[in-house]
Amino acid sequence: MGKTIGIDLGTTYSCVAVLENGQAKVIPNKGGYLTTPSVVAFDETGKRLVGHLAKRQMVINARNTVYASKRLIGRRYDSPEVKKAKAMYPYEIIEGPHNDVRIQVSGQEMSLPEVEATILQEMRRVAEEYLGEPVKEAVITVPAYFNDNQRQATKDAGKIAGLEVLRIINEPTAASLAYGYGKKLDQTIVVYDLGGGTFDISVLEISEGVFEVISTAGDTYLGGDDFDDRIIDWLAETFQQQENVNLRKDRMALQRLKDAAEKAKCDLSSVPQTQISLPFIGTSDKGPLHLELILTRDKLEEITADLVDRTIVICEKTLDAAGLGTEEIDEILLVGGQTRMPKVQEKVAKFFKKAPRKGINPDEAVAIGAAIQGHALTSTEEEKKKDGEDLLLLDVTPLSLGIATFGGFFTKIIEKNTPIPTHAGHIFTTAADNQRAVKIIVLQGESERAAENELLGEFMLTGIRAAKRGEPEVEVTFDIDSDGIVGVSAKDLNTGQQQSITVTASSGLTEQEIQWMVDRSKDYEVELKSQGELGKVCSKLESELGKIEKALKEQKAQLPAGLEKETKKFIERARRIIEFGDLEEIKKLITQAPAVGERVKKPSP
Amino acid sequence: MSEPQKISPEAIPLLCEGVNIKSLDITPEEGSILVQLDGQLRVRHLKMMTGLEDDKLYAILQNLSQKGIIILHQSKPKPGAELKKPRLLARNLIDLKNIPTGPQFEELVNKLMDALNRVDYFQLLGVSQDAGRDEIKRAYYRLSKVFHPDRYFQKVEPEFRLKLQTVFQGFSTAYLVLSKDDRKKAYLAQIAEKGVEAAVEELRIDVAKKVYTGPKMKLGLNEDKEKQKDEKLKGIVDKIKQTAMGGQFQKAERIYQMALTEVSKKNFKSARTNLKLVLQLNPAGGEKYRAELERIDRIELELRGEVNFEEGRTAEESGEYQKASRSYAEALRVSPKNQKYLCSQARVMVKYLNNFEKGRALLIDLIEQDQKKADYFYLLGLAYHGLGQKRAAEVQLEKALQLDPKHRDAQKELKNLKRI
Repeated sequence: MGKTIGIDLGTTYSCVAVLENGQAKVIPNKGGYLTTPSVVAFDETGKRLVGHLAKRQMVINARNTVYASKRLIGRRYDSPEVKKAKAMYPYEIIEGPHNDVRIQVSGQEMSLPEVEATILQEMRRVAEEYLGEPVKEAVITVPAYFNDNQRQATKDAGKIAGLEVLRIINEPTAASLAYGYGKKLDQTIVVYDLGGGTFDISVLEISEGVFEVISTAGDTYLGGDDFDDRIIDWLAETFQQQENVNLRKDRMALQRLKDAAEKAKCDLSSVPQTQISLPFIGTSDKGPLHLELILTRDKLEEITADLVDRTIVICEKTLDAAGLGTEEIDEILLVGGQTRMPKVQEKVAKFFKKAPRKGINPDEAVAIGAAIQGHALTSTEEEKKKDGEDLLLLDVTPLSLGIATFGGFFTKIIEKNTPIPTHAGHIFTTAADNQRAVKIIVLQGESERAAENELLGEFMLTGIRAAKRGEPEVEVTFDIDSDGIVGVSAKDLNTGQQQSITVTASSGLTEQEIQWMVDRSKDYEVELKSQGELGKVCSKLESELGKIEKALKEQKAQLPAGLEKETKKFIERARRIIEFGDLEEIKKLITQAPAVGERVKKPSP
Repeated sequence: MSEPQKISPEAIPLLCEGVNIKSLDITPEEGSILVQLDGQLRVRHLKMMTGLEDDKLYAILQNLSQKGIIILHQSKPKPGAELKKPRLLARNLIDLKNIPTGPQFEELVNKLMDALNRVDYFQLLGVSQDAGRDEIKRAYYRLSKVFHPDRYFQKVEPEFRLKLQTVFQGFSTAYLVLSKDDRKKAYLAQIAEKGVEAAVEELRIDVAKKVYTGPKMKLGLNEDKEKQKDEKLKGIVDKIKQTAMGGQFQKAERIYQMALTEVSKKNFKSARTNLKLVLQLNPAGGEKYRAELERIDRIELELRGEVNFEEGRTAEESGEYQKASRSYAEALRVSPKNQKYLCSQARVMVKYLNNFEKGRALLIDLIEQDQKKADYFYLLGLAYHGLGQKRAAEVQLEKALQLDPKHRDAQKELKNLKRI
């Protein structure tokens, strides 16, 4: 039952789409916007705010407003990216129990999957309100270059939000679906995806309804936010030179700088220069200070040149891996808001010796593609015939998977750009007589040195039968499923017995924690009700009803039967409305209640 | 039947067809082994059951085999054995114009699984050795459209899905090699030099038989304990075997019957102990006993669920909704899909506890199971109303009324909603 929605869970903005009668539709939120800011905040009463509401109050409530959470999801607390974020972001980042990242807001601790779940829940709501029916299934997109930990954490977020995540798909791949759906193409294309927080590039061949990813690469810490940061740096430094005041120390000022930087960057995509004015941004001995600066497009391009160049280097490598020259590329798609920057378009065009394709919306293509894939997975043969489109996505794993071997080396077991789903076996044996366990360290990455790759987990292979060293043969199978998520299983080749594997180190949440968070997110609605305005008006109405009941009892003898019945009915209905928590109706009843009470006290003959 | 050099513990002795045990001249020892054979029992099982020494058991089996009474079916063929199989699969492995459905499709997938280890990549993709890159790509795409697991998303059993995945992986591996000129050249050279068999063997899909020597592990305390436990249990079993040599199967059966009696008396704990003992005594009959153990677990759980549900009901009737909800949650933990439990929990959530989000989630589960109950849609309508999603609430209430036009609560609620 129900439709499958596609959700683009972005660093700065999220977007939801659905496929109706073969037509992809981006669903607007209550405010009429097609994208919703990926921002979650808590106000002073502990109430949760999501999207535009949260973004709007960011400046005055910087400490308790979480943005760009996607840059932290699935990362280890001690990673350089998290250290960088700790220095930049005004909200508090703390260490979780699995060396994972947690966020401390309004006195409560939240895991990253929970923060992302709040955004997903909001997107689900937007879809449900539009469709008028419950939504349970979703396809969620992630950057192609996300590793296993990040994918797993995103899937957990879906679970916490009460969604059944049918598939995690890669953002550039999704964009290619949005572009190629229903077009009967026979092309080789490149998707250049520079979003709010991540950069991806994928090379695909499209033919006979098959979308085959040939190679993919990226940088999960390179996006529009970094461009903003460069502007913030420039503003803060220039200001310090002029006024000798460091704005970075003031969280609120920093937040205002961030807002202004983002706005200026967007303006400069269409005009050659823009004025940034932030009155009362700081104070000195001489009184309040105002920031008044002009940023030109040239200056912006100068301070962000290396960021754009980094993406071009990755483009080159990816094309190499695909074994293709630029002349073999038929189309270049630009996805992600940052690709609106003229310099980005210019450099991409120069590298590929071809102008990128216009006409696909860089903010919406990914969500649309996710909805298309959701539909392709769930639709029946008849539906496919009706749609006239029968597509199949063949994606690859972006990173090599392997294990740490003696001497700190990394042995690859599944190479990057291998089509998924895939699996590979590897035989382990013991190094000592009667050794009963083997530890397997699973890593993802391209470096030859184990320590330079991402640690996915440490697995303990136990219960190996006692034997001479080298004799037991245990086959460990590594799986990468269609979500790009890694699984490990083991079998004793001599006995055919399945071996147990225990994860001894992983930054992910445990099954139990997820369940607990699922419950907490479901309970969150109630919390809201009791804390907010509703709670207050409910108790007000309740006390009015109490007064009427008291009067009823006192006046029982003199009351005409009709009036008594009518009054009781009023009370009964009011109680039901309180249960429903309908704010407007309760307010109306509060104004009506005194009159009802009066009539009981002074029944007119 | 050629004679195996050495009997593998994994081999399965099978009684030859047309042999009548009673008319044979055999020793009692041989007879006691023959009656055990059921077509699944392996040599190592026989060893455990009879407690015979390796040499003795092997001698008996060898003897029986030479007399032509049994054959030893090797479950693990010796290396090279599979290559001697006739090459059943010629050029056109798959007829893409006539892809069968249902059981015949499954058969085709099984056949392909088997073929993966035997045919070369050209045969697998159904292309000639001089095919161009485009032709190879087209072949791969067409095969993917038939065999990729996504084409059967949520429509097949996980086990079959895994088979599809392996077959697809076979195609993609072949494609990865043949679509790149340098790799294709190397592959052709290999076929020319060593023959197809060797090439297939070397490049087989998932059997990278590299041997990895794990880091030296210090064994922890827990494992020693595990070892001790193993040995203790073995000691008990050995004792029983010594005292009741040959009779342990009867004994196992007796204990099993005792366990069944305990089950009927709802004495689950002692039933379990008995069954575990039985398993030790007669591991070969494990299926039956293990099934019984699982059945006990189920019965016990279901009982607990019912008790929780009744508690919840009583609490709900006396207006203790928090308590009711806790009891229902307990019941649901036992049987998460039980409609009675789900519905009660949802009712309490939506009507009394104002926990609309949770109510909504429960109701969606329920409606997934049964889309004909007006009550479920009515409650879902209430939940949406509670969540402030009026349009969704209206749609659900209308659905309830479609199913049961006389549903008074739904009528009232919808009227109420429209008025607001």
